[in-house]
Amino acid sequence: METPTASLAVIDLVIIAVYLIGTVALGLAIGWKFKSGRDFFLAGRSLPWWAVGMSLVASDIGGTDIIGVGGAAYRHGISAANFEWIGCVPAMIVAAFVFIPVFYRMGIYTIPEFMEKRYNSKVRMALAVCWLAFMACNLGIMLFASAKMLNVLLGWSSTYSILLTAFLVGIYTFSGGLKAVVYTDTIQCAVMICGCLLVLILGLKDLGGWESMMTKINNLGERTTYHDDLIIPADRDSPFVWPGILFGLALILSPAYWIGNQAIVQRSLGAKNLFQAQAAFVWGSLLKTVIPIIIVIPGLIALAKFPALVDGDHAFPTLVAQVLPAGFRGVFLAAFIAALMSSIDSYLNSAATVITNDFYLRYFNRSATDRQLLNMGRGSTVVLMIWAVFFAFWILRVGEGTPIFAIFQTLLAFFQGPALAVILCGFFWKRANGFGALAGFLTGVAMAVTLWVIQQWHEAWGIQPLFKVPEAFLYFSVWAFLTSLFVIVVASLLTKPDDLEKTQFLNPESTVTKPS
Amino acid sequence: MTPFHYIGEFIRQLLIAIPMVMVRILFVAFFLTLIIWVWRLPRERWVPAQNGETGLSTHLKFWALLALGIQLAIYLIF
Repeated sequence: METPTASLAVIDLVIIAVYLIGTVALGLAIGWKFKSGRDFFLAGRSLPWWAVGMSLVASDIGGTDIIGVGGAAYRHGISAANFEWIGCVPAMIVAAFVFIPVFYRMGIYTIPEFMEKRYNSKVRMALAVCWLAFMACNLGIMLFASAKMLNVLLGWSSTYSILLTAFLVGIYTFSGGLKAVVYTDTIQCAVMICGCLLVLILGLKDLGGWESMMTKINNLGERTTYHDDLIIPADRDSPFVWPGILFGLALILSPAYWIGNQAIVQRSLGAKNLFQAQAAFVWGSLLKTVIPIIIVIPGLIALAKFPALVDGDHAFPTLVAQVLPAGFRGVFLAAFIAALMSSIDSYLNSAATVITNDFYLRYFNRSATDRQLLNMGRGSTVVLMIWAVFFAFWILRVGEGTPIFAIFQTLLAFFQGPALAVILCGFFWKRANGFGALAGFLTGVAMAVTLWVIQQWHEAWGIQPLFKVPEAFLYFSVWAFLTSLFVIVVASLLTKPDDLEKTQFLNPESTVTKPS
Repeated sequence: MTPFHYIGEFIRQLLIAIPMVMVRILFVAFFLTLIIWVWRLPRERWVPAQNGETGLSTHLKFWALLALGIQLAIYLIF
C-alpha cells in the first residue's frame, strides 16, 4: 500500500499558516528587548515551571518521533511505549531531586562547564567537542528528515522544505534565544498533543473502540503475539526486548539523556528559581505519561485498519490521510510541523550556547561583556543554521538511501553512556579525579565504536553479529558505560586525588553561584 | 568469533533463562524502589528554601509519587 499524500483543503492551509506565523511572531516579540548573553542563553533565569516542563517534552518528541514511534507500535506493539514511560519518567524524577539542584546552584550554562568545575578543562573540552559535533550534525539530519516527512505527507519539495524550516526556526531562535525556544515549544507541545489526540479519538471511533481494535489486532496471527505486552522476552526478534529496555534504556540511556543532555538541562537552568527548575522536570514526567497514548495507540489503530502496510512508518501518515476530515488534517499537520520545529530550535540554541560558553568565553575572550556574548550567541545561531542547511542538502544529494540517519543516532549512543559514567562518578565518588574521568570517557567511547564496528562489518569478516537484535544502540551504551565506569575507578585510584574544593559543590550549603 | 562473542552469548543465555514472571517482578521492583526513595526524601530536597509558596501545587514529592504510581500501575497491567 502506497503512502497517501494528505490532500489539504483551504481551511487546513489556513490553520498551518496561522500556526507558523504565530510561532515566529511570538519568538520575535520575545527577543526584541534582549540586552545580554544571560537573557539569550538562560532566558534571564525567568522561565516558569509549566513552560520549561512543556518545552522538555516538546524538545524530546520530534516530528520523526511521531512517525517513528507510531511505526514501531505498528510493527512491535505497545512495547514501543517503553521509550516514553520507563525510558523517561524515572530518570526525570531522579534528575529533579538529585542533579538539577546541583547544576542550578552552581550557576552553570552548560554540562561541559560542570565538567571543568568538577574535574578539569580537558574533560570539559572532550565533552564540549562531542556535544557540539553531535548537535551540529543532528541539526542537518533533522532538517533532512523534516524535508523527507513533509515531502511524504504534503508533497512539498525537499529543497523548499529545508529552506523554509531553517528560516522559520532560525529567525525566532536568533531573535529570542532560550526564552523564545521555550515559549514556542510550549505552544508546539499543546498543538502536538491536540493534533495527535484528534487522530487517536477519530481513529478509535472509526474502529468501534478499544476492544474492537484489539480483537482485530489479535486476529492477525503470530505477528501480533506480543503486541499488547510492554515487556518482551529476551529471545524475541524485537529491538524492545526486556534486557535492552531495563539495562540499556532505563538505567543508562535515559538518565544520560535527561541528566547529561545539554539541550535538555539548559532549559531548566533558565527557570526562575530552583523550585521552578525541579517542578518543570516533575511536570514533564507527568506529561510524558500521556505521550505514548497519543502516539503509540494510533500505530495500533493503523495496524487494525491497514494491516498490509509495507513500511510501519507509513502508519501515521496513512491514518491521517484516511481518517481525519478537512480542518482536522490541518491541525495534525500543524502539530507535526510543531514537533519538527521544537526539536530543531532546542539543538540550535544549545549548540550556540556551547560555542559561546565553552569555546569563545573559555578560550578566546574570558572578559567578554554581556553584549559581546549576546552577539556571539546570535552569530553562532546563524552560522549553525547555515551549516545545517548545507549539511541537509549534502545528505539529500549523496546520503539518501544510505543508513546515515542510523549512523548519527549511533553516534549519540557512543558518548552518552561514557558521559553518564563521568557525571555519576563526579556526583557520588569524591575520589574520582580529572585524569580518571578523561581516561574513562575516551575508553568508553572507544569501546562503543569497537562494538559498532564489529556489529556493522561482521558479515564481511565472516563472523556472527555481536548483538542479535535489529538495532543495537541500547547495548553499545551499556558496555560503553560499564567500561568507562571501570576505567574511571581504576585510573583515579592509581593517580593523585584532585583538590578537595572540586567536590565542594556537592554540599547543599555551597554558595557557588558564578559561572566560570 | 571474538572474545566479545563468548561473553555476549553467555550473558544472553543467562538472560533468556530468567522466567518472564521474574522479569515482570524486576520491572515492578524498579518502580517500587523509586517510589520508596521519593517517599523518604528529606524535605530540603523537594522544597527549596527560597520558595515561600505552600499548598499541594508546590508539593513536588506528591506529584513525583503520582507520576511513578501511574507508571507502576501501567507496568502491573501490561
